[in-house]
Amino acid sequence: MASTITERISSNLYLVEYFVFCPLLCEKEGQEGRKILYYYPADTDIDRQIRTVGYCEGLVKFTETFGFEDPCESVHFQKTRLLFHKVEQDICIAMSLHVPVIERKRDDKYIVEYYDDNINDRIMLPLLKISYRYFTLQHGAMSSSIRHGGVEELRNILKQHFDKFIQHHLHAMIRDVTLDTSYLGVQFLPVEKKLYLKLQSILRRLELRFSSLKETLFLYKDQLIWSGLTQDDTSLVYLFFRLYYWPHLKQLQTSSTPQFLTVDTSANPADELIISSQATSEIYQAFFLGNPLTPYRILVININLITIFCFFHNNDELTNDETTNTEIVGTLKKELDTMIPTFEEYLRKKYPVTDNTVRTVYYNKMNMAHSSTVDWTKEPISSMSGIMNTLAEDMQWFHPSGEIMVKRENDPWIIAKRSDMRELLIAVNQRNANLKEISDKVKQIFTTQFSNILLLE
Amino acid sequence: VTVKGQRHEQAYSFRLEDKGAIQSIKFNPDLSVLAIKRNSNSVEFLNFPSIPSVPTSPRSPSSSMATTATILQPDTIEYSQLSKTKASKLYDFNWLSDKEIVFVTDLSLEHYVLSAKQRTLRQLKTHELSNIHWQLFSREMNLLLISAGTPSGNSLIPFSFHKTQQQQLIKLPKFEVDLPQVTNLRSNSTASNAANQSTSKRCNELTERDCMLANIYGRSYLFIVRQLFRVAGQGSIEVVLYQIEDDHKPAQKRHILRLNLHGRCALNVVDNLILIHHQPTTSCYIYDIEDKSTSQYDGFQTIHDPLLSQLSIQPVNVNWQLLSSTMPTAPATIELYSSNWIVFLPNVIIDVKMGCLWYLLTNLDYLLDIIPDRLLLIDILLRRTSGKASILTLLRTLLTNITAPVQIDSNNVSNMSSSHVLDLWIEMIDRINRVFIENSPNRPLLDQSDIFSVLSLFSTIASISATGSSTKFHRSLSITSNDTTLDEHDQNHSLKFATSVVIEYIRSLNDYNISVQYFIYELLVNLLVRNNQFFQLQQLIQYQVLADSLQLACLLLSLSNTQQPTTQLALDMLKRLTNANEEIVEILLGHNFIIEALHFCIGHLPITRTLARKLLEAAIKSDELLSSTASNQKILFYTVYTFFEEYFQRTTTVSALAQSTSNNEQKDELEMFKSLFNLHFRHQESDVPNIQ
Repeated sequence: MASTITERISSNLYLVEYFVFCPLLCEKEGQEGRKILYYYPADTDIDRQIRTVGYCEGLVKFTETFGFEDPCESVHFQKTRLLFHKVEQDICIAMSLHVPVIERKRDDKYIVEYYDDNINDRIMLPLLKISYRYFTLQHGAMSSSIRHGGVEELRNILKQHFDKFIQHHLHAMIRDVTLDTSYLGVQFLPVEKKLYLKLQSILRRLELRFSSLKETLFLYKDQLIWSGLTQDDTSLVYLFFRLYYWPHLKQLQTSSTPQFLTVDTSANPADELIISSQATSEIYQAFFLGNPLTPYRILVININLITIFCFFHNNDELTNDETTNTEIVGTLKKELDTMIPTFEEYLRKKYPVTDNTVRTVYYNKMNMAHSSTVDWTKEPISSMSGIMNTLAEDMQWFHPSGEIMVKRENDPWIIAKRSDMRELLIAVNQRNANLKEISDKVKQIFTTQFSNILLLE
Repeated sequence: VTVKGQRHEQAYSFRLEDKGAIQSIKFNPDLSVLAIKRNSNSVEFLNFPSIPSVPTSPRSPSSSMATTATILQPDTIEYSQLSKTKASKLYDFNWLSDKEIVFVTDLSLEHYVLSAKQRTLRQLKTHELSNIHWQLFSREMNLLLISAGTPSGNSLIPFSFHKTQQQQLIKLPKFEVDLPQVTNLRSNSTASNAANQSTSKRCNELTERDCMLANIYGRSYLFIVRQLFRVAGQGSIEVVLYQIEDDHKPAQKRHILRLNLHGRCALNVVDNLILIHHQPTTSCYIYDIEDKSTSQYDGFQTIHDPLLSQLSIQPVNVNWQLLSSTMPTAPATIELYSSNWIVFLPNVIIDVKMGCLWYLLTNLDYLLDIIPDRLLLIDILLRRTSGKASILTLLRTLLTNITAPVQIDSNNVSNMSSSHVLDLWIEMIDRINRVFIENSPNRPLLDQSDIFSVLSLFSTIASISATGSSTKFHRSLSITSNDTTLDEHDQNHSLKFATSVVIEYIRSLNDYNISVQYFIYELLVNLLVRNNQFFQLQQLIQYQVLADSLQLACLLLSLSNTQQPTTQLALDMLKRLTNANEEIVEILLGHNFIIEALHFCIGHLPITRTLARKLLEAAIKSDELLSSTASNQKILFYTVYTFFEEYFQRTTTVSALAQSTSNNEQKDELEMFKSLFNLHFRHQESDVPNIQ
């Protein structure tokens, strides 16, 4: 047979639907439409909306009866993948994804094949979950919105928020999803002890000086150095920063004048980040953090490449006058200026260019620390991302430890290792190496790059 | 004659034959030879038997002088030494050591070695000098100062002795001191350390009475008291300090202490502080030549104003009843700054009328109340030998301002904000650690256990009640008390303050490269845990703020639970310690990570039968746990057993020969497992062919 084009990708993975519903809101038959709080796309036929939501609700109820430890959160259809997640008491969010299609030519006819394997629940579910948390960060819990302003109020808020969020971010997030983004982890910048203590000293003195200042979070570039928040809140604020602040910040000219940052999530992506050098009261924003979610007033300051989140108690006497702001900035700027070159040095040290054939992805569930030397846009990594995703999913079954080494034709060796709460994926681009050589290589990587931690075997 | 010395608690008395008026009388340092000067050209010596070693009497110096004096019996034979230069007049003599003596005549210094047994003296060296007026001598400073030459007596020659070796008297470069301005007024300046005769000394003459020698901050200084009169009836006192250096440079005028008062005054040096007792105002003025805030440097010398003014010596309550019964029932108080006082450097005050001798001491705790500037205060205290207790009080008071604001400090500083207190704390702790690392003499060294005694007051802050299910943390925190009535926000604030204080201390220790001791870390961990800041604890460990140690790892293990898996931190720490491999195995076995433990043993521990037994026991236990949830065929036991069986078979050939004697015993250890293994696995295998 003449080898013409035998297959072509006709459609990729994309978001089909996204919806929020609360079954309790439907009291009588015929009112099923009421339980839908938000539906994307908005022009979907109402009957179809009711059908999808009803289906999803039924699945949640049905699977609950089995009493699994982990609730059922995904259904695989031939053409779509439905993912759902119960976020608050009786409120669920769900999204359905289009399964990639490949058309294969056989006997002059194109046969459509759905590539279910190309969607990995382990990779996609975190996106659904974080989309809810971004919402609560800015608007608080959905149930409390109902309590305060009623269901219609919540519907409005949801619509305002998710229309923009889906349009500007969720589509891109789904398109660009990688193993790295799915960890929802935090990248820490390791710095030397004395410098770290100096920074601690600066931040703690600041916190004590302004009694309404509850906590601070300190970033150099996109790397976290200190957070006074809980682990969950830290990762949420960190991811929010990566999503809304960092893409704009990294394009800025580094200026030594302190700037105040606010985010307008309803604006177009290009105008999302509002940068102001005036210490007015408009530079504050509200974030909902903690458990239960409570509002904090947030002041975000950017000095050179450093970003500091200041979390203020909301109920305290109004301290958001200009003098406080200038005072905070003044204190910080004076002390931080000398540190910046050192941070840059540590950033270089974090990613040493040692072995070009080795790429690693590291995640520690205990402290959500995540680091990666993989550039997913580059070959040959992108071609083997699927197998890495699968291995990452399989690793969840190892307890407490395990190791898999995989080699496909024309692919690099991929080693997936789990040690209690740590996950480590290594790609070694030595195609001709045998298992023994790779095993030795991996051992060598462990003793050099991960010598300070205990990796169980 | 009754003798009372600073170093000897005991008083001694003895009798001398009357051989004419005694002009000067001095014991050598070990009280074995007494030198007596009765005329102007010879000195008689009298040997004493060695002092019976007296049990150190309870400290009641002022009372012991009259009643408990030990009677000494001197040798009956006196022997004498004439001054070599016959024509000269012998002024005085000084014991350089037990066996060395220096005569000071108007023309020379004569240095002798004395042999008490042979009752002879041997001359070592004579320094010829002209016109010697007077001398000052200090054995503590190894210094003899001679005024010679110019008639005004302001040309001074220091001699140092015994600096490097015995029997050495070195002449140092001579120097001249400024004379007070000549005025027409009749001077009423009087000597400080002398009785009140001879007030009519002329002003433009430097006399022995205006000069003193003392050591301050390890340096030798000559003090010269000068009365300055600019306007009639007004005047001021200046004390000029000349530093006498060892490196053969002439002494330099370094410091001037100023006092805008005139009249009789006297000097004491206590704990490197210079005290000017001003008799007319009956008060003390205290100077600290290292204090920057009260001084200014004019390019040549530093001019000091009093650090503390108009203080009074705390009256001494003399318990008269302990003194001889002939004493009249005394008045309750003693007249302070009496004109009967004679003051000797460094810190001796004698009241000639009452017959009392005091040592002047400083009460540093009093400073806490009178110096409001906490940083000045800590500097002053850090220069005091006995400053430690007061510093600790100072620190404790400072921190209590925030942790328990109810206890109002006597100094009205209770309204200090926590950030202000923290700033002060940072400064103070830095200074304390600097003094600690410099380790210079006569400075208070506050180590980590001292600071910990202050920091431990944080243990009274109650913990934040954790939200949700994480209330289990309390089990490790038995020290929390519930009597504080702070609400949660305040508690949070106090805990945060406390955490910052401890972190600052750790930071300061690190800056001075002092390794932090475990109990400081433990305190920090407990504070963080009490404030539910587990994530912050993780971060601090991640950034190595808390240095690895076995103890810290154990503490982390004890804190571990399902919400806060600190076990990982502990295991990592143990691994970095590299000498805690057995502990790692224990922890892994404790978590039923049998295979992981086995792998770790292979890589890190010598395989012994004892180790095998431990692992096999753990495997059986773990299998039992698993069998309740899954269909488990003793898989762990099988795996571990087969590994060891193979391992020992491989190694026995070598090791069995080497230790065949003890082998039987060791075999027995695993015998039980062997039979168990055979029962479960070998048995089944043998079944297979039967069925077939």
